[in-house]
Amino acid sequence: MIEYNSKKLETPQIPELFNAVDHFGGISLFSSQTDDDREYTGINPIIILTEEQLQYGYEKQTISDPMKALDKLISAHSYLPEELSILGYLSYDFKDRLEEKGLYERRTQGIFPDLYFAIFEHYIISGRNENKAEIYTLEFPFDYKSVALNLFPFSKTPEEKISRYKGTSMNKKQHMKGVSQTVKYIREGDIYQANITRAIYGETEFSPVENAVNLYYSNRIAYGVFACIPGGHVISTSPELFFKTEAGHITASPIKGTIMRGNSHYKDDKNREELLQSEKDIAELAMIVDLLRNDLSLVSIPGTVKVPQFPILMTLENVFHLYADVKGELIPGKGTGEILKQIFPGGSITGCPKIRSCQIIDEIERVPRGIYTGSFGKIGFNGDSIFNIMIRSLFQSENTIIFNVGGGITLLSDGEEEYEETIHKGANIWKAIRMENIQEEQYYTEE
Amino acid sequence: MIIRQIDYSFQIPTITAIFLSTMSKNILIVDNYDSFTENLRHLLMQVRPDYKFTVIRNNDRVMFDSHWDGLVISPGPKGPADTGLLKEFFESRVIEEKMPLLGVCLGMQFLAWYYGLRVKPSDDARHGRTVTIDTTGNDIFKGLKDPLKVVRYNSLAIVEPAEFIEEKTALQVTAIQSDSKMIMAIRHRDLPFSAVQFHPESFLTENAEAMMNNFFRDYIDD
Repeated sequence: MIEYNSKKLETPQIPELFNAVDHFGGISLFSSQTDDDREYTGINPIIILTEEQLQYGYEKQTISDPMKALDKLISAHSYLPEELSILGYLSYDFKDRLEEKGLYERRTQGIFPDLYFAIFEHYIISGRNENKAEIYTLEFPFDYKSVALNLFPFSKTPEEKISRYKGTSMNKKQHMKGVSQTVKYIREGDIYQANITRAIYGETEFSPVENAVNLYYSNRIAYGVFACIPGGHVISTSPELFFKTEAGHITASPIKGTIMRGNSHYKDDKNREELLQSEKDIAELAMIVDLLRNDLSLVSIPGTVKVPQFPILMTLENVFHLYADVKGELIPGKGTGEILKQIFPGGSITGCPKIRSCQIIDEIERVPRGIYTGSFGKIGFNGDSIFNIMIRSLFQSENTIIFNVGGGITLLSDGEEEYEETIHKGANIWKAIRMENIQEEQYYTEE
Repeated sequence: MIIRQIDYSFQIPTITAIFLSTMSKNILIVDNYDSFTENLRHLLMQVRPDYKFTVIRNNDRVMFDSHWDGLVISPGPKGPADTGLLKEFFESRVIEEKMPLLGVCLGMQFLAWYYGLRVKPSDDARHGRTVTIDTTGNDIFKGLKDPLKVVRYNSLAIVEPAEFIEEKTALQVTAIQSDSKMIMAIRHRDLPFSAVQFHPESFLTENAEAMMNNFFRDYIDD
């Protein structure tokens, strides 16, 4: 049995929290929204599940089915309080291990593990709206390396630092060719839509914590991540939920369609109406809703998968989005590992139909995506779980950085516009890491 | 279901066969590696909760091992020739046994292609769009409102116009898109085959349950 104790804590500052994650190893999931401002942080991983092994402190066991092992790990610790969780992720590259053999080639980026989940020694649960925090410390019944958790202030170095652009997996010409190949596949009936992305490489003078803090303050989002794991650091400012399960119910809330808020009442109303009337955006949202209905149906009781309202307007500080909720009642006994096995990766970052889209993505994108477009999440010991879609994320290994940008390609997509869009999509990241916001082409001479 | 069958066979063996056949049917859903197959299965299960629906991927020989009371062909990527073992299964089992068939999207294109029609990329490709269709008011559209709003996800379409299909093939057209002439539903003149180009399993298609109910009532129920 794992023993635990908990005590109240003064709410740590974000830099302090990230510093502790960086120093001791761990994962922090955060929401930085105005009305939902909180963090859930695990520090010093003790029980670690990766693709091939399960580690208890110093002792390692070989396993054959990590998703089954994940569900076992949860049910074996269901006596722990519901505030505690397993934290971790699946990389996008893991998808081939969840499908019929031979459908996808085996790809792996090789920087971070493709699958990683952990139970930690310390959990800090902090809420900025109520200004309160609690720390849980676990005691394990086997030998492990315990750390005394102390939060120490984070001093920002005063000198001016920058990040440098080092290249991309697809330059403008290659990206435009990829877009036109995708459009050709759509015309020929292979798919209705696919998400085509590219990686941008760089070098940074900032430490991972500095980059994480800068990115944290760059946007208000609900599904952020800062993690220090084998291979390096992961920083995400994802606004997108993949799914959550709660008391036997599963919900996904796909977002499609974006328009800027107007700077006058008149303009604001006009933009809102334009989005609500946009046949293109509504068609794309309908497609992802149908895809998620399908995926949730794989784990839900027949007849329970519903779309209560379509579409719904989301009003944010700077933009309007369209979205819809897809809800289902889970088939009793489905653990999160089993759910992930059935529905991963999230349909909004593959395309539709999903399998053929993933094959086309593998063909067009020149490098494995790694954790990008995978899912980070939290599985409570009561079985409730929440997973994000890993977009708008930065991956740092020492001073090397990678981030990825992309978009959904449809029949009417234009290569030039899609390429421009990939640059805009990265705007917050370019800015936060102080990488020259380049017209990338200037880095290329004609081949 | 198995428990119920045993119960009835114990009590009233003489009418068991008739009774069971109205109670339960074994329906095969061939999945063309699609992302809407589960939507389709759940729709069908809602309409016939007592029937057993089994999803088998189009390259899995297991489909040849069982007796089926009906076949549903899922939508899917690519064209009608890219459907694994479907053609072999269709020839050796479906036609042979006059097995009732419902085709959806690629499922309809497969049927059209098998009977000699051309299925090609269309200028009117639509994905996730709602369109209005005009129906004949019979077959699976019996008793439904007309015109009807349905959702389309297709780039490919039957090339030949309705008149050609009616004259030259064993197929009949039961619905077309109102603002174009795209073929939206067909049936076989003599065999129990019915198929739709649009997606009844989409949450935005109207009257999908009634449509499926018509299919079961006319083609499969006793």
